[in-house]
Amino acid sequence: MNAYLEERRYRIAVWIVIASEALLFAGLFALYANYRTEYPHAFGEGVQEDIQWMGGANTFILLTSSFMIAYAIHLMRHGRAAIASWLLIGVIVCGGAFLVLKLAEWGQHAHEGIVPGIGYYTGTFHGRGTVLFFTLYYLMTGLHALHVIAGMFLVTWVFLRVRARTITPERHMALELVALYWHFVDVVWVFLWPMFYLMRV
Amino acid sequence: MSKSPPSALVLVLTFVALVVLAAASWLLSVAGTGTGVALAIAAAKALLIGLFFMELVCGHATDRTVAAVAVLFVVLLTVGMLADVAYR
Amino acid sequence: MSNFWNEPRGLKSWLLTRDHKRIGVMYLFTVIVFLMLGGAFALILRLSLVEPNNALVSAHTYDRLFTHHGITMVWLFMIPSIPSAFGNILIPLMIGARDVAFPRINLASYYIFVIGAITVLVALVAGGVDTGWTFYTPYSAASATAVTCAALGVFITGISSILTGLNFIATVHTMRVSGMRWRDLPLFVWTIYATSIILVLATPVLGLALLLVGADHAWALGIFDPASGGDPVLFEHIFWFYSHPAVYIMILPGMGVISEVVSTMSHRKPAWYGAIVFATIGIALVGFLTWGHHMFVAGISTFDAGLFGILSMMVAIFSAIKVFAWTSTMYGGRITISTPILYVFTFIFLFVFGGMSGVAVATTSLDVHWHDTYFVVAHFHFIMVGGTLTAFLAALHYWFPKLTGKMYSEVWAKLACAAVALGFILTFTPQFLLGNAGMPRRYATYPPQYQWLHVLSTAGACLLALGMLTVLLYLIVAVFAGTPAGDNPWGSKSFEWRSPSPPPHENFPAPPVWNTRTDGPYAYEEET
Repeated sequence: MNAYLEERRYRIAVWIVIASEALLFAGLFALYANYRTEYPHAFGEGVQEDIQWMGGANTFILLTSSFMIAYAIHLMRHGRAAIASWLLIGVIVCGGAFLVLKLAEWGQHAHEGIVPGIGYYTGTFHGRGTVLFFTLYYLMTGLHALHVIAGMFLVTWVFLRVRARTITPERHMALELVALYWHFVDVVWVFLWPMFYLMRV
Repeated sequence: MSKSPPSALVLVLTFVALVVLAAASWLLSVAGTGTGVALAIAAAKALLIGLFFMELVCGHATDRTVAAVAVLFVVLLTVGMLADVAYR
Repeated sequence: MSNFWNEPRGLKSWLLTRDHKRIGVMYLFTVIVFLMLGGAFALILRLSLVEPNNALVSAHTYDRLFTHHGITMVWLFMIPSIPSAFGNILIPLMIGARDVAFPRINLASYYIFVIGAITVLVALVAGGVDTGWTFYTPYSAASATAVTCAALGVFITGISSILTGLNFIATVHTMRVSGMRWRDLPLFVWTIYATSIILVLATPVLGLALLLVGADHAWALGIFDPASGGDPVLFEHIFWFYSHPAVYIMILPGMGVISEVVSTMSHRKPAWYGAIVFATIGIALVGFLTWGHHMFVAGISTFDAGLFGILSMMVAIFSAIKVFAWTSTMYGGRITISTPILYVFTFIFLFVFGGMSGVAVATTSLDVHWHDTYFVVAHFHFIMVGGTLTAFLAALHYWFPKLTGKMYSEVWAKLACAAVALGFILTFTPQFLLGNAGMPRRYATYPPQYQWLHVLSTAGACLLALGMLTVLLYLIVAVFAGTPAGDNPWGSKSFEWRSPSPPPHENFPAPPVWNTRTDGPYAYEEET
């Protein structure tokens, strides 16, 4: 089996995984769109309750991490494996920072009584639409966070392989494929950010 | 790769464009408008990431097809549901 | 004689195999077990329905029986049956490959399937679920039964489906033998490819639906609970976005089997190969546009209902193309009357009626009366049993000599085929009448005027069960004591028949050199 076909095999597989993951989120995006249509005012209010600076910071963090991993591949192709591996550390740090901020935001919400499920009914919570907004908020950012965690494991794995030189400037397909997954995780957040932080009206 | 992958300059420019677009959508939201625009900007950012970071611009047609179909189907589910909820 | 059964030897070589043929066989045995389990549930249901006041089971047990009949049949038999079993065994052989693209992922998909199936069985043992296989909210969130466990089990089998689909797509794209273009592919490969597209795109949506049901059940999130402002119909949208394409996962591979058997037994190349391929992809894609027809009376907007009604009719066009192509292939030919072709005739007959009843229920104004009655139950059993199960039986009988090198008893096989066909017709035709007369589905008891139709249906179910058991018995006997059949008893030109039967462990000692254009899978001598 020649190298071109072998690469096609793996690349098709990873794109299919990404497509599958996109479809996993699809129902949640659809629910948001539909519940927002039913409760536009409540959803707008919910957006305003979310912590702006955290959402913005997380967006910047993920965009930067995407750039870093894309540049790491560029460097790897040009033989600069050492610098590439530092960029990969940067990606992992970004992922960690993202998760820390996310947890902090959840903690803040919980402190205000916005806890999904039973918490809603004992919290200071008003409006059935706002309840749905925050249920979707937790579900979508939670599912996304799980994917960030999975992505961090994958990036750590390729980082270790770069260090062990089983990923090299000549053979680094695994790095490219993991990067695809990481970019997908970024793309999901690109949509979550406006949905939960920007769309106030 | 059927064509050559994005150069370092393209990667940097893409990143700058992404940050600029993000800032724009934030400013619009602070100004209290732009719900639809925010989503459009998000779509533009996703396209940039897909084309240049994920290298769809120079990749195999099959990969572009898979990506396009995935997006189409997310839209399909959302629209099919909206055709219900919005018209009740 | 060395073949994939005995080389390599030992239990460990089976449990850790990467051989697609062994994995396919393991899937085959497993799905047959679940077919029997699902069938057992059905038989109990049918027996209990002989009496209007149902002395056999309580209403609660009845609910759990039809739920688990559905879950077992849909996810533990129908979805994996032809693709994961026959697809695995045959795709590499049909395209000249050593194995599938990712053999270890293939094995993982099998074990993941088994883990999911066991999880579903745990839910059964823990008292069973009573929500119906569709897990509709808000009841699924409130039901005091093992909903989360069953949903988790199905979710896990979904992962197996996605991995299988991914494997097949990568295999067909990159592992065809040199010189084999897409237009040279056997039709069975096309249908598995199209099925795989559905598997990877639709299954994740089911995954989300089940995650939401589980989360709602465990943490009372209320996403679909009207009391919290939720909308149960939205769950139905998400659920059916998967579950409608799922029925095409169930029928497309069956259609692939039919295409292969028709060509081989008629000794002719398929009529309108291009149209069949077009119809195959058409079914896979258009199948995603029709899910709302399960929800005509759920409270969706009239606009949405009308839209889905029209789109649903379109799918029938592709099915019709296929039926005409098959009959056209056979027309005027010299057909070998063997058990596989008898199952094909049964398939075409029952699929046409099932399909027409599908167009009928796709008509919104008519479905308003038939929805949630036995009419719908009859429709989908005509397709799933009359279609998929019949095609599965055709596949079993057609490729039996390929897998074992032996032949079963033609006499018993034809008898069993008759029992299956007649038993099926007797079971489900009365159900069209029952539904049309107003008998609702999922009811344990009913008014006495429906009894005679129920009795007929149950009698049919007993005959069907007898036929199926007979099939199992003579096939088992044939495995051990069947007459040697040679490498290609049907005289097929299809590529999987060009290796020894059973095939050797490594499929092809060297990459095969096939002239796919002049000596392709359908290169039968033209008759004068």
